[in-house]
Amino acid sequence: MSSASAAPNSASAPVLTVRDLEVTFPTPQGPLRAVAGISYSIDPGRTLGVVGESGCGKSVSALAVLGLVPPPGRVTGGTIWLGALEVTAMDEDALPAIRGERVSMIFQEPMTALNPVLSVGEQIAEAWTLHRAGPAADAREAALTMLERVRIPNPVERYANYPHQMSGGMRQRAIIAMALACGPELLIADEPTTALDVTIQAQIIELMMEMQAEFGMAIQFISHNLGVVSEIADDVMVMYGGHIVEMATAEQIFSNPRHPYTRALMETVPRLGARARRLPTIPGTVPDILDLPPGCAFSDRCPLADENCRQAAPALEDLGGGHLAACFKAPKDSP
Amino acid sequence: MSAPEHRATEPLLEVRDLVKHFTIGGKGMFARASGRVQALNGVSFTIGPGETLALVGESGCGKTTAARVIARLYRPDSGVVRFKGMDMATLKGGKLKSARRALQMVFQDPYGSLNPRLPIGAVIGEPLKIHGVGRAAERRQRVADVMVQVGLNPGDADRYPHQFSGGQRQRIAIARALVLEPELIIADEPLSALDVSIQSQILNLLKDIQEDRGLAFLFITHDLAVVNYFADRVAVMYLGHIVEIAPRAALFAAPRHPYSQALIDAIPVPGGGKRRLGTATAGDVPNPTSPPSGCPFHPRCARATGTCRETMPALVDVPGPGPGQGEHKVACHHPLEDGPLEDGAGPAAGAPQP
Repeated sequence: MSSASAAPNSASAPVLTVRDLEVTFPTPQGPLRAVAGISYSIDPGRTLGVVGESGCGKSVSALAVLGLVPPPGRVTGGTIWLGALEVTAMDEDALPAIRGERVSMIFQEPMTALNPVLSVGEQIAEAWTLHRAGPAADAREAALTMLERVRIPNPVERYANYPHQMSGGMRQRAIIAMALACGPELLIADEPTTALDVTIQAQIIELMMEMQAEFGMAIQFISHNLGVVSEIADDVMVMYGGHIVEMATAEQIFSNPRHPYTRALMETVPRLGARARRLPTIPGTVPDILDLPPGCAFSDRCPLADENCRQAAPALEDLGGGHLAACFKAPKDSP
Repeated sequence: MSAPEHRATEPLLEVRDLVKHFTIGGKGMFARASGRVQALNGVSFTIGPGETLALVGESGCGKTTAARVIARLYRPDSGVVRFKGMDMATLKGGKLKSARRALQMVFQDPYGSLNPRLPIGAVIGEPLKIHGVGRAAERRQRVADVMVQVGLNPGDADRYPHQFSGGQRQRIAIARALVLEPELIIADEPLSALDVSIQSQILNLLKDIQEDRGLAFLFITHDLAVVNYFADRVAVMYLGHIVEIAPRAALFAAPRHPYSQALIDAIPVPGGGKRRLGTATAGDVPNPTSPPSGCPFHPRCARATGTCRETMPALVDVPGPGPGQGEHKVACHHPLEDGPLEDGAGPAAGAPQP
C-alpha cells in the first residue's frame, strides 16, 4: 500500500503503482464506469487484499493491470506502472511479454484456467518457454521443480496428468506453479479459493504465503470474503461502486474500520463465538453501476448518510496513520 | 434461540440407513460403467417439528444427495425416509401429493430455479395451482401475502425473474416454498450464490420464518459460521457418512471428530490476523468413486491408526457427561476428548503410523 504504512523494504519503489485508474464499458444505457478513478500501490513482498461485492470493480481493475480488460471495455483514464514500466503507455503487442514474466494472474475456477487437452506439466513448461527460450528438457525440468515447490506429491507422475485427473485443490496448486514459473514480481489472485472447500481453501492460503516467502513476489489478493483476506493480507482496500472507500493496513482496518460500508460488511458476516439473535444487515441491494446515487455511492444504503452525502462525493483522505477512508462521517484521529 | 430439546412427539422426519450409489458412465450405446459414486453410505438422522438440523460437509460428501433422496427426487438404493410417519418410498397419489406439499425445497441458485418465462406472481402461485388450492382470486391473495412476508412488493407480481437482483430472486424462491405452508423446508446452500451483504438479509429472513411459523429446516451448507447462527443441531458428513451429530453448542464447544475440528479450524475469521503456517488440515477431499478403506477420513487424520485403515467406526454416543444421552454421537475410533486425555493409552498423537 502506498502511504505511511512501513513495509519492511519500503525503501524500494512499489511493484505496482496505479493512479486515477478509470475503466469504462459502453452500454446501450450509456457509459458504465466500472472503475471510477482509483489510486493505490503495492510494495515488494507485500500482500494487498481487495474486498468488495459483485460489480464493485475489484476484478476489472486487476485485469487492467495486465491489459486484459474485456472489450468493449477499456481503460479511459489514469496510469499503471509496474515498477518503472508504464503499462498504460505500452503497445498492445508488447503486453504478452510482461504477462507471466513481470505479473501473473490466477483465477477462481481452476478448471477453466487450464487447457483440458494438455498435461498439467506441459502447461507449466509452456508458461516457462514463453519467456525463457531454452531446450524442451530445461522447460520440463523447470516445470518439475515448480510442481515440487507447490507441494504437489509425485511431481514426475503428476507432470503427465491432465487437469480432469486432478482435484480442485491440486489444480489450483498447478495454476500457482504456472503463474510463478517465471518468477513475477506481482501475483494477482482473483478469488483463488472461492471455488474450493474450506479445508482446501486453508491449504491454498498457506501455500500462497509460503510461495511469497520463497519467491518474494507481491500479491494483490481479491476476495469477497473478509475472513480470507484477513488471513493473508498485509494491507486491505475496500471497494464499492467502482471507488476505493477505505484503505489501510489489515491491522488498522480490522481493528478499527472507519467507513460505514466496511463496518457493515464486518458486522453482517456470521461468526463463530458471537451469536446474535439477528444479524445486522445492510439494507438495499448491491449497487447498479449505471444507477448510482449522486454524491457518495453508498449514501442510499448508509445509516449515517445526510443531505451532504447525497450531493457531494467524499474523497479518499488520510484519517491519521495512513488509514484512508472516503466518508464525510468517518472519525478522524485526534491530532 | 432455544433448541427444542427432547420432544415427546415423534420426529417430523426420520431418515434411516440411507444408501445411494450412482453409476457413472455407461449411459451411451458403447459406454461402460466406469465407476460408482458412493454418495450415501448408511445415513440416519431425525428432525423434530420446528427443529433445524444443519447438514455440513465439503463437496462430494453426499449432503445434496441426502436432500434429494428425502424429497424423493432420487430413489435410495436402500434405507427408509419417513415423513410424518409415512414411508416416502411407498406413498402414491394423494398422499404423496400432500407429503410433497408439506415438504418444500429452496435451492442454491436463484437464477436456475425460477422459470424465466413466468412472471413472479405465477412462479410463486404455481404450487397452489398444482395442488388445487383455492380459486384464482384467493390464490392471488395468498401470493400477495407471502410476498409481503418475504419482503417483496406485491405490486411486482407481474414482473419477470430477470428483473430482480440475486437476493430478491432468492426471496422469490423462498416465497414459492412457503406458499403451501409446509412443515419442513430443505434449503440446499441457499446463501452461496449471494453477495455478502445480501446473505445476512436472507439469513435473517429464514430465521424469522423459522420462528414465526415454527417451521422445521434441513439446512445444507458448507459454512459452519452460518450453522452456528441458524441450527439447533448439526450433522457433519464426510464421504457419504455422518461422522458426528450433536446439538449446535456441543459441536462448537467440544467437537469430537477430528474432521469436525478441522472444519472449525479452517473457518477464516475477519480480524483474526494472518493464518499460521502448518495449521491447515493436510490432504485432499477424497474421490467418492474410490473412497479410502476403513474410516474415509484416515488419510488426512493425524490420529489415524491401523484400526482406522481397516474398519469404519460406528456412529455411537459420545462417552461421559455432556448433553443428553443419545444427542451427541461420533463415528471415530479415536475421538477428541473433552479436555485432557483420561488415560495414557489414547491414540498416539501426531503422525499416522505406516
